[in-house]
Amino acid sequence: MADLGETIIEFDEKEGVLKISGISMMEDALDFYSETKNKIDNYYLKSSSKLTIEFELTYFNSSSAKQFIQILTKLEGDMGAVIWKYPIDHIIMHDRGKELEILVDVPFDFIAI
Amino acid sequence: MFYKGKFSDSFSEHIVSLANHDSHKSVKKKLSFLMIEVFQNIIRHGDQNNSYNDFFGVRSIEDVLHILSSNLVDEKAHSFLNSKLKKINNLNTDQLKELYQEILQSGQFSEKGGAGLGLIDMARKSGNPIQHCFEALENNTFQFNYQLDLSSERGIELTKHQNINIKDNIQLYNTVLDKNLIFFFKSDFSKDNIHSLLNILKANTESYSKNEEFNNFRIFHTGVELIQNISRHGKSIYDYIEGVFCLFKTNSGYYLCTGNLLKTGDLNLIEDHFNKINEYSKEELNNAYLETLKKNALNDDSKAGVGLIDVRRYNQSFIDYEINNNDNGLYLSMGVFIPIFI
Repeated sequence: MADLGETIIEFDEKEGVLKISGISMMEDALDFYSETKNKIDNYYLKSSSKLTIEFELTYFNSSSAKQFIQILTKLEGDMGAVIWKYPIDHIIMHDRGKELEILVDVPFDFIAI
Repeated sequence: MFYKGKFSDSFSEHIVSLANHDSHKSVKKKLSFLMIEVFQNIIRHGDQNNSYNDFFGVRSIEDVLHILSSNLVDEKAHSFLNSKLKKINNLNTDQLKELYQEILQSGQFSEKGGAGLGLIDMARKSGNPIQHCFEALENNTFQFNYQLDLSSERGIELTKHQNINIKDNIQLYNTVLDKNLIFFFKSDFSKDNIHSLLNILKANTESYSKNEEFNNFRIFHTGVELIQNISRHGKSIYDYIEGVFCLFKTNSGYYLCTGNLLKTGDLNLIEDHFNKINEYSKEELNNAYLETLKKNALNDDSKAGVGLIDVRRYNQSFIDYEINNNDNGLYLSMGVFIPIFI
């Protein structure tokens, strides 16, 4: 039986790209993403460059959705952009990205993979 | 725990970890060993093409653990098992040990345990006779039910009145069959257990059809959100949150339900919350999702507050619920039908 998978976070500060991939379903999403939120804050303290957040998820739960909103809010005010990659046949993952787009003032680019 | 899903080796680790509990930690190794033996016997000896009759269960009642198994066997296996079990159950501890060594030394056992070595080992380790019962079915096949009983305290012998008769568990098996239950779990909702529950849910419901992404997502997501509601709102008693999780197969989908004591909450407010979510139209649900998520994202706690809205909007099913006020507080039971679209 395939295991459920995990969330992979890669932050390339030099290139200004934060990548969140895999599946995000932890119950303690608040603790899990607090480090990422701190890293984004530190990034903006050190740099005036924009940040691109690239999502490539096959699943995320409701607690993760809240954390994503908090993360994306940090990009508001022309501070960055989002690339939302979703599995080509996965309409729900596309639509769930669209819903996040509605809630924050950050440009989204949708890419089916 | 009762399991009537897919049987393969990869499940045994999850099944064993779900049965771990502080109340019987002194026999943890023995219980794990016996569970794996019983579970793997079903995989090894069950009919590969028809797992409809396969069933596995573990019950912990007061100070006794019961491992239950049921699968289909042919005429040959029936007569072999019947005579072996009669023989084994008439032997005392020393005689079992002797027989075990005798078979080992004579080398008459095979990969499939043809000499009944596995059965002898199970009788020795459980310390009790193996309760069993055969039911004759069509085409010279038999439903083979057996049960291992062991004390949850190491080195304590069971008294007769502590044991459950196998007939009671067969009745339970028939109910499981009748209700189309795939999986029932009532125990600790620890992090590890949640992980195992979701693995079991996923592996038993994943389908490969035109709408597979849509179907698989909804089932898994419903499971995640309902289970996380238990770990978040469940009341902890003796340092663990006890809850119920069960999965049924229906003609057109699945029915998932949970039960748990609530940590806090006002009965009327909880009922209002459920009623409100159930009354929303499709559009209202989508709006409620966005508004609630936006509002809760302003708070620094972990509450997103959209789990049940998601469950309701993706499945387009009402959330069935019942709240009972008992001695320990409010007990919430809820269930959701998950339709499968072909």
